[in-house]
Amino acid sequence: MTARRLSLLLLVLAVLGALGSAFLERGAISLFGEYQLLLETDPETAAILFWDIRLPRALLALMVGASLGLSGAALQGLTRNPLAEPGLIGASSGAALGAVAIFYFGLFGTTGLSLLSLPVGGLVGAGLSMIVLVALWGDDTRIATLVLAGVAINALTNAFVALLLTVAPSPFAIYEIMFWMMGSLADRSYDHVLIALPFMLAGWTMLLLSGRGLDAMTLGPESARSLGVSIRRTRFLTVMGTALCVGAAVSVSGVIGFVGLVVPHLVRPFTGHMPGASLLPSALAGAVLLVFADIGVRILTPGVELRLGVVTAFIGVPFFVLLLLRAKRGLLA
Amino acid sequence: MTTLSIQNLSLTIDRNRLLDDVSLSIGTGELVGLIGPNGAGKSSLLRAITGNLQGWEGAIDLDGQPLDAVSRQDRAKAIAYLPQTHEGLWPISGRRLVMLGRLPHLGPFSGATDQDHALVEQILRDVDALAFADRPVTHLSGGELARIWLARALAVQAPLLLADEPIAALDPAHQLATMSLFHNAVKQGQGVMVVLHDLGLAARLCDRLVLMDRGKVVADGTPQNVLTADRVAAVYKVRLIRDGSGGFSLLPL
Repeated sequence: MTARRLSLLLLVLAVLGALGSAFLERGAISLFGEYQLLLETDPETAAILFWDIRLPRALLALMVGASLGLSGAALQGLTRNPLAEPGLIGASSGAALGAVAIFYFGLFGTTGLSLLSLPVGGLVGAGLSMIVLVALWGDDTRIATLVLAGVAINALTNAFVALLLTVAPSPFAIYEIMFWMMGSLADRSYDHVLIALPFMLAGWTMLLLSGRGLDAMTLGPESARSLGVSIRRTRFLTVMGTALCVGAAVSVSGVIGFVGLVVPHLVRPFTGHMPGASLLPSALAGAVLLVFADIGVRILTPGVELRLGVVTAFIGVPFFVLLLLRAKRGLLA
Repeated sequence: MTTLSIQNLSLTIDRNRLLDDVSLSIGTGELVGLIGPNGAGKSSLLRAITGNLQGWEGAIDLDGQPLDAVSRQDRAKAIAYLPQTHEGLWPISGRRLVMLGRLPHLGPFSGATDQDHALVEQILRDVDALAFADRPVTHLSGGELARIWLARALAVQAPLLLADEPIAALDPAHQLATMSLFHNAVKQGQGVMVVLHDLGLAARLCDRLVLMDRGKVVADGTPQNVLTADRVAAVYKVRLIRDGSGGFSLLPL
């Protein structure tokens, strides 16, 4: 299967997943039961349920999944490290801290421009984390350096969030802050879609533009430079693109880990392991994975909805351990 | 005709004088061997030319224009570089790696053309790498990988090629084959500067030798003139003894 066919297949799956998600009844296996009943008795409510509650949730799953898959693929290409991922390197937790701080200090409003304060907070948090990461990591291609830098950043941002939790004024505020720690797409609206989309579009564009530089980077920075590629530009596009789309994603969905880790590894065998060619399929695969994971959290446990970030962690951690074991044996792909 | 001219190039990093007032020029149509003991500054010179070492003083001109003033892409089209170490993490195929040599020639949003593919195929045949061109580069032997990387540098089709120890990992047959590839490239109008450690090979196969020692160019000229017994003794700390047939052997001092 070529990269183009894979992308096409993933696109179809993403659309099917989004439709399934939008039609899905909470806590049941039956896809259409609720709608059939409602359509017969109360078509107006059925329409509201579909258009205003389920569809924005499905759209957000696609957008957040695409952002995580795409930035994971770009980060792995840039660092030439199979374990790079927005969550592990601290971009997601930085974004969560930014969003929590905005919320905590009461800067988040529900009207006009103040709506944008949340993604901006996420973006700034993710961006700061990435800057610290690049400073700590330098040009080191050793896997441990990057992972350890991520550990340090994650520890620091988690400490700050814990600090805000400790001094939170009310249990209600604690509950709200917890939202960003364990990602979820429940009870989202078009507001969330609209405030995240512009930042994500900018981030996606930057990441997709980094493809050729990332391809050249497979030869190492010296050869890449001799082929006319600007390392600085490639790094800027990848780091800023990740900060933009991960910052926006986390500010509306909380931290959803491991999507960016798993997805590029699943895609790469179909793209000849070329980082540039893996970008678009990784975005699509991330969208597919998250939209189906979000269906999963709703049907797996009737009654109580699982947290999406918890589910992706349960899927992702065994995968992460497997990659670590292979890296230890020197088999990286 | 493309000429790279270097004047009074000096580079100090951490109080180490890596390059000390180096002046030389290379043009198309010659095969230049860059020789010298370990740490003489050969790789530093190539890395300074290719923009991989910053902070040098002096001048590097490409066809009379300061290298800094030449656009990144034009520089990449004019000077191909084969580094000493072959980095690579992802198990991409040899053929894809070689195709990366065509990057400087691609438009910002266009992919490889049929001509690019035909050229890569031809070069893979030239370096005798067709047999393993589709295997992941992470599964190749050192010599096979060296030939893939050589093909990558040749694929740029630049007027000038700077190769840092391209034959160190090769068996004798492929060493000679590689040198004859360079020879053919020169006959077709390219200029090649190649870092070599085998003085015998350098003397026999290069048109011109540049001998470096401790950051300086100590000799530049025909192999016969550069490799005198006194100079080899001073620079390499070995004794050069010529035999009757134009060759020589190296012995401890």
